[in-house]
This record gives sequence, C-alpha cells and structure tokens, in this order.
Amino acid sequence: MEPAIRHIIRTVTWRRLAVAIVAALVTLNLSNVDIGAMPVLPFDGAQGVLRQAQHDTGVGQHDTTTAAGTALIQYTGQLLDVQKGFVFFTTGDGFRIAPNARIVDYKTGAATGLKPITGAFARATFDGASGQIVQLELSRDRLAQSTSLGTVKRFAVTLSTPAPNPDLAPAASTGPTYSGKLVLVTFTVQVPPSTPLTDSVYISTDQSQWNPLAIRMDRIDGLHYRITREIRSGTKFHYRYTRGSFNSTERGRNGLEMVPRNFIIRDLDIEQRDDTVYHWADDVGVSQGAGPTTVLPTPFNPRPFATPRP
Amino acid sequence: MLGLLLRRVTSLLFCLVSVWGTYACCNAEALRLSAQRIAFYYDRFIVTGDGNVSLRMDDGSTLNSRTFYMDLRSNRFMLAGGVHFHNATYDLDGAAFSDFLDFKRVYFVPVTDSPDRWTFINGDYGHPKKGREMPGDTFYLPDVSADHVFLYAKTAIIRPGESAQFNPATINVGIASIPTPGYFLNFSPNPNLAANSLSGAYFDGPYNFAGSKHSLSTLHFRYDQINKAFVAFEQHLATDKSYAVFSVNPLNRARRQFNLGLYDQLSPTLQIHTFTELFTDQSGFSQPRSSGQFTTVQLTQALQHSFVQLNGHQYNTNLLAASSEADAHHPFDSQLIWTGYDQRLPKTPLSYRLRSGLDYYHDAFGVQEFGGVNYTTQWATVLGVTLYSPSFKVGERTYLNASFDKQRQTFHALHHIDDSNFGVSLSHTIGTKAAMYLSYNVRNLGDYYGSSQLTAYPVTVPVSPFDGRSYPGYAAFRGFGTFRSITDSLVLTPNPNFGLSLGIQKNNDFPAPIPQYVGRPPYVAFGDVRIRLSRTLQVDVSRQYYFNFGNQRWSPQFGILFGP
Repeated sequence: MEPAIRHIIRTVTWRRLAVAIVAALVTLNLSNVDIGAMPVLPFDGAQGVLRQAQHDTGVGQHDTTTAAGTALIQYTGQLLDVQKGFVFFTTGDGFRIAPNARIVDYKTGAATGLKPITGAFARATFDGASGQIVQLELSRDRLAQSTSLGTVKRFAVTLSTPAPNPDLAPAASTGPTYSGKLVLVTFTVQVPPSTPLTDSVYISTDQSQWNPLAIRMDRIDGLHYRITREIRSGTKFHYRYTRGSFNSTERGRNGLEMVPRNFIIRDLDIEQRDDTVYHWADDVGVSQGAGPTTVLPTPFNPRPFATPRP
Repeated sequence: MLGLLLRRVTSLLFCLVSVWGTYACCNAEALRLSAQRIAFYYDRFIVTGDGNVSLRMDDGSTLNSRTFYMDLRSNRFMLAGGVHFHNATYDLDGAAFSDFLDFKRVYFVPVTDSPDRWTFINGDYGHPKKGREMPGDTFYLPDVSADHVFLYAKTAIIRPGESAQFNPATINVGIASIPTPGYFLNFSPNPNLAANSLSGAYFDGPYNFAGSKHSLSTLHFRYDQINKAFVAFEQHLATDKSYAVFSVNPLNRARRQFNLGLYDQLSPTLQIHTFTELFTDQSGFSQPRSSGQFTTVQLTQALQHSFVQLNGHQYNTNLLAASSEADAHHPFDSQLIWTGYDQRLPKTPLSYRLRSGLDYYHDAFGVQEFGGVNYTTQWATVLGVTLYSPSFKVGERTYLNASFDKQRQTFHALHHIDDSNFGVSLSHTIGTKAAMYLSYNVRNLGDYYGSSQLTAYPVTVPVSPFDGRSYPGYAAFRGFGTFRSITDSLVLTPNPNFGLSLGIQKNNDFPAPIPQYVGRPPYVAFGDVRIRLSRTLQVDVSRQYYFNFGNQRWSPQFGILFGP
C-alpha cells in the first residue's frame, strides 16, 4: 500500500491528487498508531502542491519555537516502536508524544503515508517545556543527526530510577573491544615438504559449512601459501587447511585430527596469521607399495608394459 | 576398544532414527521462529522476520512482535514493535526485547503506563534489574537494505551457535527463486558434520534439507563426464568426537557407489577412521550385474614426540561369482608406520623428521609374479627421513628454502625401492600484493632388483595405444627414473577482491612421457584468476596449457570454483 501511495502523491494532477487524499485518509484510518486526530491538509490550487496546515501548536517545518514561545528541540534517530502514547528510538529511550502531534513526511513536511513503525527514521521535535514530541517527521532514509541524544535524554520516560550497570563499568571491561570494522587478515601457512608442487591449499571455515574448497590460497614459494581476506573485527574465526577435499585435511603434529584453529579478529587495520601444517590426512606415513601389477609403465613396477618388446 | 566404538556408533544411529521431523533426541537450546516473512542474509549471517513474528524459546517463554532480527555470528537477537512477552511469570507488552545469548543478558523495555528498562541476568526472569543502564547498541537495527537475501521462509528453528533450519525455503540464486521444502544451515564450529564421502565431480551443489545438532541430510546435485547430471544423497551423524557419513552416489543411476565413513576418537591419543565403498551395477535393488568393494581402516596412536599408525586396505574386485581368476582378486595390504615429530638438527637451522614402517601385502591369487614364482605374500620395511630449511633471507624481501626427502622400502624378497625428492625455491614478495617464486624439484625413483634387473625391466619399446607411435627411448629404461621440473610463478593480489596467478613449468623426465598415456607434459603454463562478485561470493577460474603435447593444447575444461 505504501509504495503505491507514495507514487501517487508525487504526480500532481487533479485526479491523482484526489485519489491520494482519499487513499491517505483510508490508510490513516487503518493505522494502528494511536496519536489522535490527523490534520486536514489544505490544497493550494494555484500552486498545485500540498501545503501543511497551521496547527494548534503552531509548529511548522522550520519553526524553532511554539506559538507560546517555548523552545523546540529536534532529535533524529531510528524508530524502535510507537505505542501507548510513546515513541521509542533504537537507543531504547521512550518519549511521550503529544496527543495532537503531527506526523509528516521529512522531505516535504506534508502528510505522509509512511507509518511510524520499527525501522523508520524520524526527526522528533520536542516541546522544551513539556518534553513531549509535538512533531514527528518520517523518512525511509537515514537522517543526518541534528542533535545529540544527551540534549533530549532528560525527556525520556522511565518508571524505574536509572541505575548503573556493572557490566559496563570500565573495571569490568578487561578484554579487548571490537568495533566490527573490516580488517585485512593475511593467512600464511607452511606446508609439509610432501605437499605436491602442483596442489592447491584451501582454508575451510565454519561459516562456509566446512566446505574444503572454501578459500583458495596462493603458493608463494616451495613451502608456503598465502591469502588475504577482509573480515570484520570481533568475528570468531574457526578454520583449518585442506588440499581440496575432506580426506586431505590437515592433521596435527601427532597425526591425529585437530580441533579447528580459531581466533577472534582484533580491532586492527591488518592482522597476520602464520600457521604450520605438519601432516595431511592422506599422506601420513605414505610409502610405495608393491601393489597389483598394472600396465602403467611406472618405474617401480616390474614388467611395466603388457607386451614387452626386445 | 571395539565395544566403545560400537556404543558410540549405536548412539549416532539412534540420532539417525529421530533425525527427520523430530529434534527431541539431540536438540539443544532452540529458538522457534515464525513470521509472515523470514529472510536470511547469507553475507551478513542475519535472520530477519517481519509481520506476526512469534518466537518460542526452550524455557517456555514466547514473544510476539512485528519485527525480529538475529545476528547468527554475534549470537544475539532482538524483537521490536508491539512486543508481547509471555512466560510463567509475565504477560507484558513492551517496545523491544533483546537477548545477548553469549553473555546471558536479556534487555527488555516493558510498556505499561510508562516505559521502563529491565535487565534479566542468567535467564532469571523472576528478578529483573529495573532501571539498569543498557549497552548503547542493545536495540540497534542492522541495515540490510543493500544486502542480498539468500532465502525466504515462514518458519525457522535456530540453534544458536550451531545451525538454522528454514521451512519452507525459497532460495534466491540470483537469476531465479527456487522453492524448496526446507533448507538447513550448519555453522557449527564442529567440522564433523561436514565429513564427505563422495567421489569428485565437475560440479556439486549440496542442498541440506534436514538436520539437527548431530545430524545432517543432504542431496547433492552433481555433474560429471560419465554420469552427466545426477543426484547423490548423503547422511551425516556427528558428535564432538565421532562421525558417521553414509552416501549413495549416484542415486539415480544403475552404476552407483554406497559409501560409509566412520571416525571415533577413542581416547585423547587414539583415533580410528574407516571407509568402505561398495560399488554395484544394478537396477534398483535387483541382482547386481557387477559388484566390488574396498575398505580402509586407519588407527592412529599418538606417542610422546611421535605417533604410530596402522593402516589396512581390503579390496574385493568382485563380490559376485567370479568368471575368471583376474576377476576374483581380493588383495589386502597393511602398513604399520612410526613417524617422529619435526626436530631441529643440532647446530643448524635445519629441521628433520624420521619415519619407519612395516608393510604387508597379500593376495591369494598373487601379489607379484617374478622368475616363475607367484608371490602371494610380501613384506617390506620402510625407512625415511625428511630434511627441510626455514626461509633464509637472501635479499630485500627475497627468501630461499629447500627440502629433501629420502625413503627406502626393502621387500623381503626380490627388490628394494629408493625414492628421493629434492626441492629448492627462491621467492620474492611485495608485501601482500604480489609474490613470485622460482623453484627447482628433482625426484629420483629406483626399483633395484640387483642381478635380476634386466629380468624385471627388460628392454622394451612401448607403443602408445592412442596414436600408435613407438618410443624407442624406453629401451634405456631399467627401472630407474628421474623427474625434474623448474617452475616460475607470479601471484598478483592488489586487493582482497582480485587475484591473478600465472606460471610456467618445464619438466624434464626420464622415462620420457608418452602423450595422453603416462608422464608429464614437458611444458605447462597455468593461470588462475580470482574475482569477488559480492560480499559472499567469489569465483576462481583456472586453466592449463600444454603447448601441443600429444595434440594437447588447453586442459579440457576451465576449473571454476565458487566460494565465499
């Protein structure tokens, strides 16, 4: 419904405008947002555009004070919920909304088909005296920050007295912190000399469902392979090396299957991981076999050809 | 040991019985989610739910809301928009509910007459910490507007830190959306569920249609030159210390393989692996036209600074009534191998590793016939050493390393085989953006029969079965071969989203190769391009060129690999 209404509102013709007004009224009636009566939107026939009404609060799109002269404070953020007369932002703070508050479109200042629902972006205009939201301008796009939360924090409503959280105390934070930024992680692995020169080495990870061919590495010399990936800091990275199959996965120094390697990507610009593979699962203790005689002329098979000729 | 293995296999089989549709057997904590639309963003590992969201937790709590988000990697979820929280203690409305699973912290914004802030610690819903300050990002909504939806579903069962089952699932493959009954995503740090028992194919597309903490059922859509497009089935069972994997490949062809792989860690220092393949040519489950089997067993015991491994291989070339002696072979071989840890060679920067072993070969129809004697059993002892160097810096960002391996396998009768490998490489790196190396490798492989050398390797001039050409140079071959190669390679990785690798290898072997029959082409050029297509997908394309060796120019196919 919303995309259709938005499309209609953009096009300024008599017929489409009439449809837009009717559609908007229908939509608002169906809305579950309990914020009181919506203003009637006058139409300026000469201009061919919608003009926002002058409301009882006297709040226009660019007003900085109410009609009574009280200062207005604006805050932009993303909505978490609107219910029971409160607007909640993703900071977790809830603010009381005035019964006659306006819900308008952020760009045009006119009535909007957007709903003040979770995920929508909004600029809230607060009455400095009452601390209530008198206008909510909605947008689908992220809005530039108009003021810090601290400016309106005093208007937040909460039943319980705020209390400190020991989990957030500096003393409680003994480990590193992670911002989630992209980190260039370079993996360099030393392989056993028995690794065939023409073989590829791969990194298999939990995030790739342990696909043994997940991340192909580049050979950089006779004993080393390398690959660089961008991974977000704070990621718990579980991985192990393979030569392209589950049967050629690395084994530990003691010949046993290993618990996958793991580490947490730190909050750095670059990170280096140097590992050593001691054995591959399919080459532990490999020795030549007498084997059944074949027709392949391998050097260690006697009578290498089926029909020897003098 | 055998009893312990049987008990563990039995427990895994019990899980198999309950794997379809019921998860009570092996189910740990689970979040049961339903919504009008559930979306999974594979590149972000984020699950979203919109419209009539309902979440039921194992402790009996239920949550309803308009919106749901869960970051599977960070192991946290949030419900927002008209939240209703119901459990044995509460029946409350709220604005948002956020659970940090790893930290056992739940943050709730109840809305009665006025909003409040409650924190539940360690799952204790009966004693909320009211008014406690919450982390700044507790209720932040991830921006997925620019991300690709991998699948849509109506319901999901999420096992935090392990897996997610989506039912039904419409999978978005880019050019089309494919409806499926369900999709199972395994992201557990336990790799045992990924044990693979299928042979190679040109293309393999796995579809996980069911699973749980200890099991995974997969259909594989595959393609190879022989079977063309076909389907294979694989069933996995796994614990932290064991796994069992069974497969039928192909499922829809008369010639198929039944595979069973088992693994168990019997103790912290002892492991056992087995693999059995049954090959049959049969329609359905009728009398097979042909059938063969092989089984391998590997037992590994870690010792102090070394380990011992016992391998066994049993082959049955024909499980049906044999029509000829060649048809009835069932060779068996076994190796007992000791391998030492890598040790530093005193007063040198070199490292070495020793190995030794005892081999046993048996075939009632003969392992080897020589000098009019048919040997049905052979024994051999093996001694080997590997020596290698670290990377020596020989210039600005230039390194040299080398390795040498020598092994002698002495059979109790007839002969011994000497195998030695030497390799040296010179490399130069330009940070992480480029690397080049030049390597030289030589392998000498000799099969020594002493005075019977000419009997074992008579003068022979082979004829290629492909083009009828004869190779008189083989007349000099007496069972001693030398294989040399020089490889030059350049790797360019200007950024993580692009990589180019080019190289050329010259091989100089004796005996000389026979095109399309045996041996390596004298010249091989190889190239590999890696390009990231999206945040979750990159493609790797490779190919080789053989410089018209035996009319071979390019390798038959491009190697194409899609990965994360």
